Amino acid sequence: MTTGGWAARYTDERITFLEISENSTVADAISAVGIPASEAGIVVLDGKAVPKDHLLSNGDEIKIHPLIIGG
Amino acid sequence: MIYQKTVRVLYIDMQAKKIRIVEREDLKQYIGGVGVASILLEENMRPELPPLDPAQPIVFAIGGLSTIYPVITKTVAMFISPLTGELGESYAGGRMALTMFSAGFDAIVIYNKAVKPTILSISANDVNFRDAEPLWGTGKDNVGQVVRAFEHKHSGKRSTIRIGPGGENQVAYACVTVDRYRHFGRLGLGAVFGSKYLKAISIAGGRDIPIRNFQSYFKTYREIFERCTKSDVMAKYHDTGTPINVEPLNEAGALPTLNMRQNRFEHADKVSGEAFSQDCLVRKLSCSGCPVGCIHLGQFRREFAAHGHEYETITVGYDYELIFALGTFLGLSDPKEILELIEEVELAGLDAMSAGVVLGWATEALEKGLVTNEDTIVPLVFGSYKEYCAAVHYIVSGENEFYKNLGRGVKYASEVYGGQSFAMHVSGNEMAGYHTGYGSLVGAAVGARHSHLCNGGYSVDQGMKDGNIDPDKIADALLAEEVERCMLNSLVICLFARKVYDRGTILSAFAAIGENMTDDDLTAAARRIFATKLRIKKALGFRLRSVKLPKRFFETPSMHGQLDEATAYEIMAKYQEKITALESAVKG
Repeated sequence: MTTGGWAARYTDERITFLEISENSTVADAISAVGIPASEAGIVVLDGKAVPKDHLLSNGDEIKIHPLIIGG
Repeated sequence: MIYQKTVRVLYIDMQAKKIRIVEREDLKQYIGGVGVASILLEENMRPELPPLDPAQPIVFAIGGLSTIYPVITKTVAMFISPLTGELGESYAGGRMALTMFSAGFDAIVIYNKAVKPTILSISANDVNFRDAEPLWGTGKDNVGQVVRAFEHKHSGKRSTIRIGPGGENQVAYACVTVDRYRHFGRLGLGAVFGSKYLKAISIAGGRDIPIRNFQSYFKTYREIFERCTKSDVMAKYHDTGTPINVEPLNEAGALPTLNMRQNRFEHADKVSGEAFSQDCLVRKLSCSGCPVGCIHLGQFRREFAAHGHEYETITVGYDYELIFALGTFLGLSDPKEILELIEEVELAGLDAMSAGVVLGWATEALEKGLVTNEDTIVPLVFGSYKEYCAAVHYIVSGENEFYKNLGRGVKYASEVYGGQSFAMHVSGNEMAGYHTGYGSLVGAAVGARHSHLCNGGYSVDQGMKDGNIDPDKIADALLAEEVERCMLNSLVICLFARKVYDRGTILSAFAAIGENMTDDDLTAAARRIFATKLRIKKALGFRLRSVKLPKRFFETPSMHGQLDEATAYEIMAKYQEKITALESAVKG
């Protein structure tokens, strides 16, 4: 799992290898690295945005972006 | 105004050089801000006349909690937009709200045209009509220097609001600059200033209003202050700021690029928020009364003489919308070139988003042979920043017929030359930088001022799943947010802090200054304000069913894939049904 500099408040690592149990979702992975659900935005898997309840498979590489911000 | 039962309105007749001050008890039910300004616009506008007729009003208003709590820093401007011909509504920070508050005015209504260029100098005790004839045709910075010189005794407690040559020449998307780095950016308020010979306004205030129950007030203030400074809610606006959006929007396929022929930019990493921070960021600023510091200033070096290695360092504000409109949309991949183009647009006094989108269309129109090199004077090609810098000045000067038409907005220009399918506007307002899905697209179409800020449609898209489109739910979500923002903008909070100012916090803030409002009061005010805006739009001839969305919105995939045209119009129809029902409820 990859994050950008934006996540430095929550995790020291920009790239994290996670061991997850079967039926784990994107939301579970976000929680596992300590990023609050309210701060995580678009999650990209294989070049495509996926929802937070997307089920992860072994070897999936996801990138977590912050929420799109603005007024 | 705090502790008052009335709303204090300053009316200024530019032609007669007369003012009057009216205490309006009837306006209290609208809280302030956009609520009060909507009513004042409705009372004073002349729907039968063009937007730039001297009789049309400019209305400014601050809110019921302005300046006394953190991040309640904005002033709303309402007018008839010369760009869309309908509701004009724009917000700016800086010191303007603070100075209106301390000068003792909740709202200002300006009408008629001065005999010659004028600077309005407003203070608690006086309004002066100063001759600005020598400044007409000069840049905004000159005006700022002059105003600072004659208002020197108010140093630190004054705000300067001014236009550049774009406003003087009434370019339909000219902006108004507030205190150097903030703007009433969208929908052409600068042109309305120009149409009144109003070069600048200076507001100075020195009133001191003692807080009555300081203990209660300060407790509430501290709670809000700490949420602004110690939680995650606002930190992102300070850290990288909105440019952080570049990367996720690009990766998700929602970043309008090359006049939105693409939803991703191959050089996005070079213009990302992190890239700007590392290469250009030199300073962060705040509006008065804000502890966050979200205004990001970048720097670039420029040679100003052909010989002798003469250089100057230019500091310019940037955020996501500017990087999108004057960067990815035009194919610019060097942050320093983007900053230089931002600076040119700034000096011209144009809205950066509209300017970028207009230039994107012009580039493609030239490429497709709809216009000629003779029209564009310089060869506009994606990525050609020097040519874009020149084109900005041609728009302002109305260098030829083509640039005069560009100065009326992309909708108008595409009606003249063709290329309407790739003229990226929504109901006449150039698009914002989010091709995230139905929420952002339909949100702009149904939004009262066709802005992404009307209802934050991109947030609706972030919570949506592919293949699970429910038009009714989307329409509900957009309407709920639009109505709620009427209440928030009556305060007038900076919308970056909308998660800080939830309903409970707003009620506590009012209670701490002795105003016992209820949740129902806020809901009723929000609906009343929304209904007022709808009446204004109707009077100005707007019909949602007449809105036609450019085809490219449906050709270039969004974050949620290709959007279906019929579905977008279905959501708009659902929205129309819902607002008709809401209007009836408000009337009843």
